[in-house]
Amino acid sequence: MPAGRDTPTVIVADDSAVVREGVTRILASGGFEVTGQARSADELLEMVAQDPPDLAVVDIRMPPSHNAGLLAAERIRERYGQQVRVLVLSQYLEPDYALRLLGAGVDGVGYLLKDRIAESSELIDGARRVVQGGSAIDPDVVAELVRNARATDQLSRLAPREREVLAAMAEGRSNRSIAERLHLAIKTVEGLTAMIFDKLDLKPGPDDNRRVLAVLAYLDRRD
Amino acid sequence: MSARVVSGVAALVFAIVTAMVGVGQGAPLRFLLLDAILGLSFLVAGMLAWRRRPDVRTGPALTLCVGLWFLGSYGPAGIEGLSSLGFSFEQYYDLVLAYLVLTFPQRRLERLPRLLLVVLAANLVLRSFARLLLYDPPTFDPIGCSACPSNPFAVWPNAALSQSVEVVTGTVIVAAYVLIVGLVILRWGNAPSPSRRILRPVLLAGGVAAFAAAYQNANLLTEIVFQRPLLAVEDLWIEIEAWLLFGARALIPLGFLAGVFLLRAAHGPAARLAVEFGTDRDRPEHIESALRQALADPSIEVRHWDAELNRWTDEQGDPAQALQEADGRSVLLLERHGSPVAAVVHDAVLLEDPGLLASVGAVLRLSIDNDRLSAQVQRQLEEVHASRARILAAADEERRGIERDLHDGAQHRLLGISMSLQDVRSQAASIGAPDVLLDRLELVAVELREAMREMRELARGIHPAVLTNEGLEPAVRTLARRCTVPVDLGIDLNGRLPAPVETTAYYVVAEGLTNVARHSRATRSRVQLGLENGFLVVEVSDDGSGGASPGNGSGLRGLSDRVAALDGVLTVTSRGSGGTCLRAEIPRL
Repeated sequence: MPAGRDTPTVIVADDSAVVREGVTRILASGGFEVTGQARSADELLEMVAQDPPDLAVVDIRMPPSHNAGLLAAERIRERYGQQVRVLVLSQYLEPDYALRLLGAGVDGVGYLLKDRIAESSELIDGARRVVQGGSAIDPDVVAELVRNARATDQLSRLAPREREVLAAMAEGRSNRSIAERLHLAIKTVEGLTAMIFDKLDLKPGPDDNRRVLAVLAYLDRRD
Repeated sequence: MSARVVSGVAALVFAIVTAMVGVGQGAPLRFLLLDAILGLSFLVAGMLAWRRRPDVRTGPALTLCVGLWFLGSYGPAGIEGLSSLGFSFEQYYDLVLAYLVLTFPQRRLERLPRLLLVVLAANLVLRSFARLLLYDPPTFDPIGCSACPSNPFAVWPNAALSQSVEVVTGTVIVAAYVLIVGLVILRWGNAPSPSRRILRPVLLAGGVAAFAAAYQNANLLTEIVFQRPLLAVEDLWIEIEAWLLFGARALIPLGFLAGVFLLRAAHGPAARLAVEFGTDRDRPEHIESALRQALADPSIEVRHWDAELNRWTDEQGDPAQALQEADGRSVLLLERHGSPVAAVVHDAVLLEDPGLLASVGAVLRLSIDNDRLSAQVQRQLEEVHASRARILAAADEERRGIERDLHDGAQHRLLGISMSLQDVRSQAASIGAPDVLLDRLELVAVELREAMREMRELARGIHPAVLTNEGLEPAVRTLARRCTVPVDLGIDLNGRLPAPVETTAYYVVAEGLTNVARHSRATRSRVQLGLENGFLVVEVSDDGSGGASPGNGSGLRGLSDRVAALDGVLTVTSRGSGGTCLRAEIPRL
């Protein structure tokens, strides 16, 4: 979130009025200022161009075409970089959408399932991480990736707790966030992450975002 | 008993009687033997020809010749009465043979040959009755009968008149045989090549025999007029001459026999035609060229009747003029239920063997019917094929529609309810509702989230949106990720493919990986997608226990149908311990 402003601005884009209203209400309750609501991808791009917000929450599927929302999100990231962060809400579990979105960098981007709207705290938490320049990948989507690798030998070397930490890292959480979520001391989390990186032969990244990329790339291994 | 057997037995009996009479009269053995052999060779040839081709008159005519031949044998026999009859009615077989040669195998006589045969017959008859009624002793033949008995039929013996009749009729007879030789040569020259093969032995033997008859009659004539033979030769040559004339007649039965057998063989073209029709079917003009080949008639043309457009077409299907009968050209019309099917114009000489045209026509009709039916089947097959692809596309579209409706309709509605529930819960909490109520509300919220998750999976199962939105590669990657057996992916696709192709390939991978996970006890599997020669090739293989086949379980069969609807091929190779490989080759469209 840019300095000097304590209330981040948001534009919510979704073709369903119910979802638009719901997301708006939740974000407002979480300390965001919703400056606009868009019903289509074109409308979103227009509104962002007029008054760039800190965050755009975008439905992946909007008129005119099926993935117009995703395309609009990519356009925004391309054009505005870190000025406008993007959180995509999707009904698709497939990690490929998220990975596609992350292809341009994990900083300030999120991919959450729409179901999260039903748990307002999750949505607010994700939106906050993204608007602060971090990333938020839906736990279910990460679970899809972990499920893939379940069969590989390396992951079976991890202890259950370590696997939980790995998934949390993949979601884009910082050590502090992981510690809070798993009810652990931050020192313990630091130790566990080091252990995981060691076991999986990964280079420890200098920051949280690089760490997400490394973990996701590891999970999405295709060979 | 058939006429053939009766005639044969009668002729045989006559031959035996004649030979016995000859023996009784002390005729030279050599003469008897040759006479009998020649007469019997006519009989054998006649019987064989009769049996082989009862529809051709060669057989009966040759058998008749046996009788006529042995009738002449009584001429030099030296028995009063019989000798006169034999001498008077000798050489009638030459007339029959001339008729056979000129008409073989079933030709109608034209005006000139008919006139010639009538004149010949009239003169032979005239000479016969002159000899029977005017001569006594009855012969002028210096060789045949030197001490012949008197003629009991000579009611009005007149040497001068009989000599005049002999000269006049003899001259006409010689001229007739010479003309017959000419006609034979002419017929050979005019015959088209297919006929020549059959006519060759008959015309050759006939020509030689007619020449021999002419020579023999000319010899007799010079004997009467100049009291010397036509060629003044020594005794030795007289003998050779007699043998040659004899041999010339002996050729006749052989020639006809060969001709009749060749006539039979000429039906070979029908069989050859059937073979020709079988090969080279793809060429539009194959019927025409096969007919030309089989009938050795390069002038053959074929027309087909186009019943829809009511017109004749050539073999290429272009409109063409109706075929006309013309000079030397005849038209064979093939019909079905009274309407024309095809027409063939051919050399009229082929009509001489109606059996040939009938069998060729039958083969042709079969072939045309066959072509028509296979074209019809092909057309129907294409229609069925196209409709199958359309049905498949429609079903896919419907599934896409259902998936969209679930997401945009039901799922959004559930989301709305979920949010309302949250509101209710927080309001309830703010007015201090009891924990029991709040817990119940939380439970409902959890159930609701579970319902949404299930609905997402359901929609995904109906149609994976990622396939439509992102393409085959991400969709297949998701399948691989979800498979409980580790999957190696080898995907080399150049962009998107048409939706039916992508959808079908997706189902191939889905079914393949389902089987890998369920049945194969595999530890590893491999999915490969690539483009080869305009085909999308999909392969799902594993290192499991094998045993899958397309007939095995409706999953693979339905998949096979789906692939086939796009003109693709699905194969399952099960290598026992070497695992299973499911492979689909789908045209890229």
